[in-house]
Amino acid sequence: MRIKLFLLLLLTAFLPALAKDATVKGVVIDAATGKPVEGAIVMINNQGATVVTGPAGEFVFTTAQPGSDIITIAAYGYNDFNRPVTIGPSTDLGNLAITTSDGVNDFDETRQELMFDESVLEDEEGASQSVAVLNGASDNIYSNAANYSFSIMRFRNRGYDNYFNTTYMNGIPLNDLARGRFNYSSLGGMNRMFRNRTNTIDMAPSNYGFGNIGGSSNINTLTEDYAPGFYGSVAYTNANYMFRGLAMYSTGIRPSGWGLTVGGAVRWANEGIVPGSFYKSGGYFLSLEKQFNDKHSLTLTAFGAPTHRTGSTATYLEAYQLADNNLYNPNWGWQNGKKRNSKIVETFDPTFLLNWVWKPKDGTKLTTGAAFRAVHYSTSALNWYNARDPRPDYYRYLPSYYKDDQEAFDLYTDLWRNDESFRQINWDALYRANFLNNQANAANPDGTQKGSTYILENRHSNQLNWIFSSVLNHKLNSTMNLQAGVSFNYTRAHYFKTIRDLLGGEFWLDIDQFSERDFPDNPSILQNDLNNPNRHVTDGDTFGYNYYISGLQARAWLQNTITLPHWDFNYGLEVSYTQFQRDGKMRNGRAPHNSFGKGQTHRFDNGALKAGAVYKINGRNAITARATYETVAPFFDNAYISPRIKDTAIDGLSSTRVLSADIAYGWNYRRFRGQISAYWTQLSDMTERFSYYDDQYSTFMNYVLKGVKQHYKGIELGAAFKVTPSVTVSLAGTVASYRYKNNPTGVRSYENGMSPDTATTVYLKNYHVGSTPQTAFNFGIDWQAPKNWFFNVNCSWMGNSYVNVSPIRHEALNDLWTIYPDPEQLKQAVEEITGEDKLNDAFTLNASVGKLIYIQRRYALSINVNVDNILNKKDIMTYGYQQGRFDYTNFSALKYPNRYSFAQGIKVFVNVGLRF
Amino acid sequence: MLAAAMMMALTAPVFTGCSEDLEVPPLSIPSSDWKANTTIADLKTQYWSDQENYCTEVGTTATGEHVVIGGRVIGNDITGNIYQSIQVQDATGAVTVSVYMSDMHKRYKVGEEIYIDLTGLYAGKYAGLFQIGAAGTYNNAPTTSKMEEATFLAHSQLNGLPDPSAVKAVPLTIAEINSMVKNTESVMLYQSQLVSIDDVSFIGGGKDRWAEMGSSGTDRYLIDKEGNRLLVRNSGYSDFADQTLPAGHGNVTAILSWYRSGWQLVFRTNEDCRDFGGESYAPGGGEAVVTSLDVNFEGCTDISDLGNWKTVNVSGNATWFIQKRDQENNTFAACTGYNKAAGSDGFISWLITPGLDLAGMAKKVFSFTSMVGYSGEGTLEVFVMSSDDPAKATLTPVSANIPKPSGSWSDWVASGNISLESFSGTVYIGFRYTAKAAQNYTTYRIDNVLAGKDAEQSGDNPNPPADKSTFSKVTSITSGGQYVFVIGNQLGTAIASSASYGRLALADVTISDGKLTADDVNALTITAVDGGYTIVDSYGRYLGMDSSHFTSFQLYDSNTGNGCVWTITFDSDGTAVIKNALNTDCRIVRSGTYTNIAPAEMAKTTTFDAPAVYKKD
Repeated sequence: MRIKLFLLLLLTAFLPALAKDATVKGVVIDAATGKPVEGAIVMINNQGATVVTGPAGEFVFTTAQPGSDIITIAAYGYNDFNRPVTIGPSTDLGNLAITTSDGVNDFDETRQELMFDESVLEDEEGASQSVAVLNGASDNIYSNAANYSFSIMRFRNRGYDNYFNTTYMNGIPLNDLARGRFNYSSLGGMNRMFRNRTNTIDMAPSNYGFGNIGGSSNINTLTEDYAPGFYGSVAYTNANYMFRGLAMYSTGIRPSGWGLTVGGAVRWANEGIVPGSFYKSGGYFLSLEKQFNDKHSLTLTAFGAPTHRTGSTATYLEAYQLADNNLYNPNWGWQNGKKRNSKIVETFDPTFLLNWVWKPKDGTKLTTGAAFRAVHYSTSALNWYNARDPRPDYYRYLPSYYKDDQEAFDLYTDLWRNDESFRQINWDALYRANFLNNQANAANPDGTQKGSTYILENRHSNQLNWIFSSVLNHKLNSTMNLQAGVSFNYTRAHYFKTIRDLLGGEFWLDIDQFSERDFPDNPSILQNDLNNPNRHVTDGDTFGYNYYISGLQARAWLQNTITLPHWDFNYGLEVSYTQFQRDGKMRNGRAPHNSFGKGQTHRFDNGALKAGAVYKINGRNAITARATYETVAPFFDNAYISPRIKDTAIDGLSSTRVLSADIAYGWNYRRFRGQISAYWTQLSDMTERFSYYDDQYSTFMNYVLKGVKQHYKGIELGAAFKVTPSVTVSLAGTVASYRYKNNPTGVRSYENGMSPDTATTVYLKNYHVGSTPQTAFNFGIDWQAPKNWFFNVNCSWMGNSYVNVSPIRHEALNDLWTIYPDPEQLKQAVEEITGEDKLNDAFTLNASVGKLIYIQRRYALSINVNVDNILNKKDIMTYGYQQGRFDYTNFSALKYPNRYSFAQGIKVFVNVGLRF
Repeated sequence: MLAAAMMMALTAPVFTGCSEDLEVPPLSIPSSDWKANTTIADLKTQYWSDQENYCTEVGTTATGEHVVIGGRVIGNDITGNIYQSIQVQDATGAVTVSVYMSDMHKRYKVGEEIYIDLTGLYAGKYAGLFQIGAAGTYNNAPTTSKMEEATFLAHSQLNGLPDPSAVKAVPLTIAEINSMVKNTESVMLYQSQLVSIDDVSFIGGGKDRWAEMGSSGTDRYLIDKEGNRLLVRNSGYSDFADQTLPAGHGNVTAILSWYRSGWQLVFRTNEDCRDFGGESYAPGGGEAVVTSLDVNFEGCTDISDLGNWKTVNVSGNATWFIQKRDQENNTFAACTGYNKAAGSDGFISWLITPGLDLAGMAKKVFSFTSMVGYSGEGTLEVFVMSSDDPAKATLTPVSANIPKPSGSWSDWVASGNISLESFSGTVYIGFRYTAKAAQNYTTYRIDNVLAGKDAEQSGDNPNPPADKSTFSKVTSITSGGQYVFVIGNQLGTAIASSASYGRLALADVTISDGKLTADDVNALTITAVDGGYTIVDSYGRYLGMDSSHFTSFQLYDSNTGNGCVWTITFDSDGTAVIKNALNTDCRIVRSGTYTNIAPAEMAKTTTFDAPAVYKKD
């Protein structure tokens, strides 16, 4: 059915040719590299005609008026190009070389690098954080602001989750099948090596892939696209890391056809801005190309960045207030005079790509590539058995737990405020507890031996990805381009945990202590692996859970872009097939028949249809309208109710349906340009998964929210005004609303299996989606001063960001009336429990200064100083979530308060780079 | 530009947006469509029995439907004073529902409308209180006990939010309540009902706590101006157990419950006492001068609880005090020199009643009962006083039946009616305990002080008049005969019926010509058995000995063997040699100068008198 639709659209594309006047054509190329510049705007000034260059840098005017005029070429990252021309009936201007405006490039990129590392994040239990999409700079003013200026509050473009943005490298889609996201930290902060990017905003068509409703970007690592020479930089910052060094050298393509780019980067901090944190990361990069002839080239790319750093946790406002520090970190404690952190993240994603580019003829290019990536991710955490919770911010160690006992309250407040070791992990106590066990063992060698009471465990999620893609770009004729592609991704993900450190104990008993407590007479239910019951595990052993998920996704897509004098059209369709299957390596006692071995294979067929049109009113104004309809297969990380225990998938697992449309008006005058757009997206049949400890039933609860419908709609504005040729004032902002639009079903699944699953309605209609500001504005002034000085001052206001809701609070609470028997009070109590919590609104003032020094016409030294959050506001909340735990005894919304994390205050970034 | 305007127009709805109010979950309020088809009164009528413990399964109505009652909750366990039950009231009465469920007050709040399907549940009584529950047993007999929580939840439904204003309390007085005790219809009507009683005091108000902390229950009493008393039962596990009872008088609301043969009031919370203040009504005659007295000391813990009674210690500090014996559930006033410090004149302790206005008394007579225990120094005398100051008043002694000390506890002895005809004006009755400083002291107790009416009318039982017989001296024993033991001209009298051991206290007796007259109660039946004789007193108890007590009789319900066997021979002087078969060294004698006849270890006894034996004619 979909194929027929496509063919129909194809037929309608052949519009009758319009009446011709004079023809002007040419090719825009980069003056330094000679490479074509795609997406450059070419204008015939006095006639107001505008065209945009295609993938080969080519442009054509078909309705030009003969006579004298000036051709202006404007492209992002390039200096404006003006050339007087005489237009005859058919004029070919040939190659028009435009020069890069390096200073501006470097300058903006430095600001970008800052934001880039800020967004190295991870998922917290119970909710997912979102990485601000950092596609890189583009000429879309709003997009730039959204990427850089709002990222301090984890702004998500259009509110979309990350899986609506696809990252390609040399045409190979690199988003994973587990969560649909691309992990930016795998690029190891080597921005310089990956700076050659093409960004596609939202639903615009691209020539490297089908794209995604939230936009996409293609990172180009073909050696030929690297400027030859050396680049090195050192930077100092006061963020997650303190020092960064980077070096890169490219030979460019030598006459032999070989070209090599190598580079490395290191980011380091013994202790970052967050107390008790550290950051140690190194990265390597290699791009090796052989150009066989002007038709074939083969490139091998290899990169990776082993990283050893600490992770972050969101905690309670009360803890931040008592510690008098919004960067309070509960994950560390003193041990032998050094700070030891319990949450250590180790990642390494070595990636290899082999790309073959074949250009059989002008206007046709086939980019084929294969990639192999080995994702290694592990995060450490404390675990304990029948003992006190060792985490200092456990709610029972906070003064608020003792609010009814004035003396205890005062005591705990005093300890929290004045005794640092009280609010951090007490490692000595953990070791001592284990030591006592050892002593008991020694005294009683024939009795039951005791293992560690406290351990540090590593939770691993590794993947092996084999990805293949092939993308064809073919110019059908002067107006139509065809893009087509296929891609395959086979992924084998491995989830398991290992003992990182026994903390002085002799072993750890591999059982589930909650099941032991709930089913004391059932020795098999508490086993994590019935095939190896009651194992004693030591450092490095796998325990707890161990399973693989194999996933396969195949996609095929077709797209047609049509460029006419007054209209651009694009339409395309994609079909895909997804399947995944769990393979458990442990027979879990809570699901003995449903955990070991290969489980059920889940299959999904999906498709997407996208279309767009641009009406070019004249050379300077255009209206764009785009729409997409697609279904998205579930990602296997979210598809199972409790994958650590059993193979059971979410009941009624289905693809999410997406319908998105936007309309924009853009203007581009010499001094004033901008775009205003409005968008509307509906997601339906979504599934969200949470896990939390449920007090009412004293067990871990796996909670699935099914059939969720959400709307994302808003207005975006980006405008820049050149006050003088060197001073530009820009304004960007969005007013949006991202809300749940129905009352989905919540399904509770008891991890200890005590009761069957229960489903109930969750009243979420019109509640805001959390953790991204829904209103944001940025105002900035750029000054390209003489002598290669660059200045920028900007300020941002971000607000209407909401705490991630917990669906628990939005169910009908059947016993609430027993606490509030009065109808007025009952209504009020419900409103209090279900009230929305907002993150603090934020205002930041930022400034940058840059200077480019050319030394001996050969060396370019760039110095950048960037200061963000000059006003040192420390109350900027980056993220917050409601806990799943709820007080069903007294229905007090305050008993388990929200958890938040904050951004740092003033941030400085000083970078010195050298290029030659 | 036109296009721009068009754009704005198109996008405007995005903003203004239709109503985007946050949707909250619906308010969950319980509701039920059950209807009541039986009244609580009908239920009680149908399932009532006079047995104290029974249970009957509730069947269906005449038309075959389930029996459903409906009403409002009037009592629950909000403070823990009521426990594992709720009380439900409808227009016709109230009933208790017993369930093994904690924190029932959370769902079953006072004023909550509730419907209960009784079919399959059990109706009956436990300790006389009619209730709905489950079948149970108590001492191997059926009774109504608590039903399981799941059962109750399946058999009941709530409707709406609680409306406490719909709950009605029935106004009653203590006198009305007490008068209904014997009336089955009234008991049926009012058991478990919420009642309000105005103008009452707590005995011990302002001083005593509601209950002994941790006890299963403590008795307290409400008393009104007329002196009518109502038992209040409080749990030691309630939230307010260790709070003090309110002082003064005020109004109370509580559940009128029942235990065995009488009412007991059960409070839901101590906040159901309203407007307490002013004077406390005292059980002892609240005024300084009264025209009648009827004081049995019940519910008192201190003399001051009585109101206008006084204690005066002329010498020593042996103050009259209130004591309660739980075994007999009896409270009384007592005095003793034991463990007290004697004064220069030993002990002289007065207990003085409020003034008696002779002109207003219905009958110029008073009486009391008394009991004595232990032996040694200490006598009780009764005086009519002209004022309540013993130092200044004219003291007129009156004679009354007061028991003599015998070493063990006597019975309660009625004083007999003591006439006040020869007095005029206002007089005070004074009880004086006198003792010289010594090693051993007696303890005297008094109870049931009545003034204005005859002793017999008070309803308490004095000792019935004794029967007397003539006894003649003998020097041999005939099996089955009734005998008394005599030392000199004193007779060994019966050991108190409530005692389990004791000695025969000596009382004066007139002997002439070898004959004496004595009360039959003192006679001992001597019967021959293997190895000797058994001696059984008038209460049917065997006088015997055990292997650890050598100076007193142990009293047994049946022949225990050697301990109850005595060998009896007679000496040449006509006295009896009575030896115990178990403790062969022990003889029944009057040892030294003791005032009793009891076994003694002859090896340790230097001076003694052997008894003479008189047989009933």
